[in-house]
Amino acid sequence: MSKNIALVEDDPAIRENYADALKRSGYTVETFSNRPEAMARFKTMLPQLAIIDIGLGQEIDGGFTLCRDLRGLSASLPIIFLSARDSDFDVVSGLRLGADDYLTKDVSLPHLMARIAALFRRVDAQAQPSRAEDVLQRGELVLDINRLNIEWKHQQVILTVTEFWMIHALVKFPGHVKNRDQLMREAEMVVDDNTITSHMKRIRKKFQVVDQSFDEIETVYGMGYRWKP
Amino acid sequence: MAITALSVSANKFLASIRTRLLAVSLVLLLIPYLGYRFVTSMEAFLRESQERSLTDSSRLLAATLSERPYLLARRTLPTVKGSALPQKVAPNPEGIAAPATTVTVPSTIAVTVPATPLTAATDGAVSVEATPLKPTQQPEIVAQTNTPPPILEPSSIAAEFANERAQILAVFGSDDPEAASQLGNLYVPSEEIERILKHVQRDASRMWVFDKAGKVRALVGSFKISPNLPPRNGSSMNSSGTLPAPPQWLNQLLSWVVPEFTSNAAVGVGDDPVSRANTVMQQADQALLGKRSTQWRQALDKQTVILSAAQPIWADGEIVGAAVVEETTGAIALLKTTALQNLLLVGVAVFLVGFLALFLFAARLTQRIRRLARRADAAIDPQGRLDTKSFFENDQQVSKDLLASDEIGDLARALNSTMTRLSSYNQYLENMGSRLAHELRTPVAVVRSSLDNLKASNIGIEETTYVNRAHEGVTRLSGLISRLSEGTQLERFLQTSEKEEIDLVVLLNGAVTGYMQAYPQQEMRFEHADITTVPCICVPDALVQMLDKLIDNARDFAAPQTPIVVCLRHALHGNGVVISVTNHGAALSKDIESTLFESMISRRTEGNANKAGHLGLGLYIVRLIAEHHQGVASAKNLLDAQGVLLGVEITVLLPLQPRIIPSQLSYKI
Repeated sequence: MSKNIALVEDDPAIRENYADALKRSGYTVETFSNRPEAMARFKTMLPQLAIIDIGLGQEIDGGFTLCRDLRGLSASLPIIFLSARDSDFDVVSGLRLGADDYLTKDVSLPHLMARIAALFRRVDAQAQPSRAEDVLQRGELVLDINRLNIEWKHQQVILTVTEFWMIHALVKFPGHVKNRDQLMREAEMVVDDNTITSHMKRIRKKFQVVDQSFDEIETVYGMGYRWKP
Repeated sequence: MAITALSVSANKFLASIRTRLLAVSLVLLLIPYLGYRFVTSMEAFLRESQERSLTDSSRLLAATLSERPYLLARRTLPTVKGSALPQKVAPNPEGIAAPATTVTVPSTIAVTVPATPLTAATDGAVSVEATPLKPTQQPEIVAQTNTPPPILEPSSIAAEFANERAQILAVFGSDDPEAASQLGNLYVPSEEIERILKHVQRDASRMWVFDKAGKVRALVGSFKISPNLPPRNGSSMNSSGTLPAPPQWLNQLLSWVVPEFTSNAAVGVGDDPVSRANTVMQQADQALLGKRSTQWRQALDKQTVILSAAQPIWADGEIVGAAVVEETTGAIALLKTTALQNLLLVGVAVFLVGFLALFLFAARLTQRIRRLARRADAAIDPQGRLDTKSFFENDQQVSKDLLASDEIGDLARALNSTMTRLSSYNQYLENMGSRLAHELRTPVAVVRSSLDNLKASNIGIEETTYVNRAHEGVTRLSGLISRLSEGTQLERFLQTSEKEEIDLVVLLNGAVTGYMQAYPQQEMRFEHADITTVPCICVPDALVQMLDKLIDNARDFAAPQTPIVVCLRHALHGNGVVISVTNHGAALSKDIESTLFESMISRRTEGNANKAGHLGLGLYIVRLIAEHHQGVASAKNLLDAQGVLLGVEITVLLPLQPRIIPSQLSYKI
C-alpha cells in the first residue's frame, strides 16, 4: 500500500508540480490549497506525512496553525514545512511547533524526495528492532542510521532529518573537519552560510538539553566543524 | 578659509535667536529715558512753581515793608572821614575792623552811643540809626550777641562797647558777608529790616531790600547750604522712604553719571560771574522804577540756577524801595538728582531683571531648539540610515519636548512623526531585499519543480540539454536570491548571537590555514608580528564570515602570482586591534572609495566577476559585522615609498573590550 501524503500549498503550480513528483515516486497525494479545507480532511482521515506551506492564502501564518492542530491530532505524524521564508525565526518557530523538517522552496525535487523517504524510513524503523550494522557508536554517542535516531549518554536527542544528517557527516570521520559545503551536501540542502551556523548552534543546544557539558562539536574557524575524536 | 569660517561663526552668532532677543531687550533702555523725560518736565514744573512762590514771597516782603515806610527813610549820622568801606571783612590786626557796620541800638541807650564813639579813632564808617523802639519789641541785640546787658559806664567804656557791637553786627548782619563785601558802600544795612527779613527768610535764599537811592538796606540769607547735611537726608524723596540709601560705590557711580543729566538744565539769563550782585542791582533798579521782574541766572558753580524776583515797595503811592528775593534751585536740583538717581537705580534694576529674564528665556528656547536639531541630526547616521528609536525615546528632555504644548512641542511632534514615517519607509526599503527574495522564491520554485518534473519524464537528449541549461540558470538565480537576503539574514543572526571571549590570533590563524587549504593555488600569509594572544569578545562565527568576505574580495582582485596578506596589529590609538587584508592589484578609484562598504556597490567589472554573480554585498557584510563589534571598516590604496601602487588594503579596526559585561550582550537593532 502506497504511503499517503497530504500537500497543503496555496500556489497551484507548485502544488501540482510537487504532487506529480510525489505520485511519480509512488505516493498517494492529497492536495489542499487552504487551512480549513486541509483541517477538515485531517479530522476524518490522517495522512502518513504532511507537507505544509507556512503562508496559506490570506493566512500568513496559516501553516503554523495547521501544524499545531495536526500535532494535536497525532504526535508522531511526520510534518515537513516547505516555505519561501528562510529566516531563522521562521525555521525555529516551525521546528518548535513540532515539525520534523523545514525546507525552503528552492529545494530540488530529488532532495525533497530523499527527505520524505528518510522520514518514512524513520517512522518504519521505530517499529522494528534496530540492526547492529546500522548503528554507529562514537564514545557516548549512538547513531541509529536506519531510525534516524541519536542517543547521547543513553538519552535520546530529538533532531530533524537535516540535523541528523549533519551530525552523521561529522561523526562518520571524527576529527575530520567538514566545511559548510560538505555539510550542506550531506544534509541535502541549499542554504547560505548563516543557516549552517544556525543549524550547528541549534544542534549544540539540543545536545546541551540532554547534557549541560556537551562540547563535542568544535568550530574550526574558516574551515568548518568537526566532531572531537 | 579661516576668515570665512570666522565670519560664518560670527554671522551665526548674530543670527542666533538669543542674540536677537537680547538686542530686542535693549528696548528696555527706553524706561530710564522716559523717566528722565518725566523728571525733566517735573523740574520745569517745579521751577515754574518756585518762580511763582518766589514772586509771592517778594511781594509779601514788599508788602510788609510798605507798611513800615519809615524803615526805608534813612537817617544817617555824618560819616567820619567819609571814607569808603574797606573791602576786607576779617578784622584787621589793629583790632579796628568792621566794614559796613550797622549798629542798631535800643532807644534806651541810643542817646549815649553817638556821644562816645565818634571821638574814638574809628576807621570804619559808623552810622547809628536811632530806631524808635516799639513797645512790643524787645531789645534783642543783647541776647543776640550774647553779651551782658549794657551797663551805663563811663563814656570810654561805653564807646568801646558800642564799637565792638558794631563790629559784631557788621559781621553777623549779613549772612552772606562775601556778597555784602562786594557791595562796598552801597551796603547801608538796617538792622530792623534785616530782622524782619530773617522772619520770612527761606532756605538757600537771599533777600535784598533797596531804598530809593539804590542803597542796599538789608541783605539776609546765603546760598550756601550747610555742608554737614548730606543732601539726601534733607530731601523729601528720602523722608517718604521710597528707596533705601544705595551703597557707597553705587552712589559714586551715580554721582558720576547723574551730573551729566543735571548740568544741562535750561537757564533763562546768563550771568556775569564776576559780579553776581550786578543782576540783582539791575533788577532792583528796574523795581525802583516800578517794574516787577523775575530772572533766572546761572550760579558760579554752573550747576545751580538762581532765581530772583524783584518787587517795588510802595508806600503812600510812591516807590520807597525795592525788594529782591533770590533763591537757588538747589532744592529742585537736589530733588532732580535724587529722582534721577532713584530712576537710574530702578531703571538699571528693571533692565537687569528684564535682560536676565529674556536671556534665560532665550537660552532655554535655543537650548530646546538646539537639542531638537541635534537629535534630528543624530537620527540619521553617516550612512544615511535612520535610527529613530534610540532617538526620541531615549532622551528624556526630548520626550518632554514632545509633550510640550508650545510651538517647539509642535515642531518636536512634527519631527517625530516625520522620523517615524521615514523610518517605516526606510525599513520597507531595507526589508526590500528579503521581501524580494521571498517573493521571487515562489516563481523560482515553480520553474525548478517544473524542470525537475520535466527531467523525470521521458525526454530526448536534445531536450535534456536545454532542461539542464535552464536548471543551471535557475540554480544561479536561487543563489542570487539567497544572497539578496544575506544582509538581512546576517543582521538577524547578529542580533541573536551572543558574544564570547576568544583568542583572535588563534581564530585568524585557523581561518587563514583553512583558506590555504581551500585555495591551494593562492599564496596566503598571516602576519601578526610579535602578537601572540589577543583576547577578544566577539561573535567568532561573524568574524570568520567577515574574513571570508575579505578573502573573497582579495582573491577576486589579486594579481596572478601575488600573495594575500592577512595582518594583525595593534591600533595606533586606543585599545584596539587592526585586522587588514592586503592584495596586490588594481587600485580603488576615488569615486568608489566612499561607497565601497555600502549595500549593492560592486567594483567588479565584467572581467573579474565570477560566475556566481555578485550583488556587491560582500564588503557591506564586512561593514555590518565590524559595526556590530563597534569597529570601523575602511579601504585604501597601498603605495610604496615612491608612490607606486602596491595594492589595496582593507582594514577593520576592532576595539577590544576589557571583559564581558552583561549589559553589552543586548544589542541595538
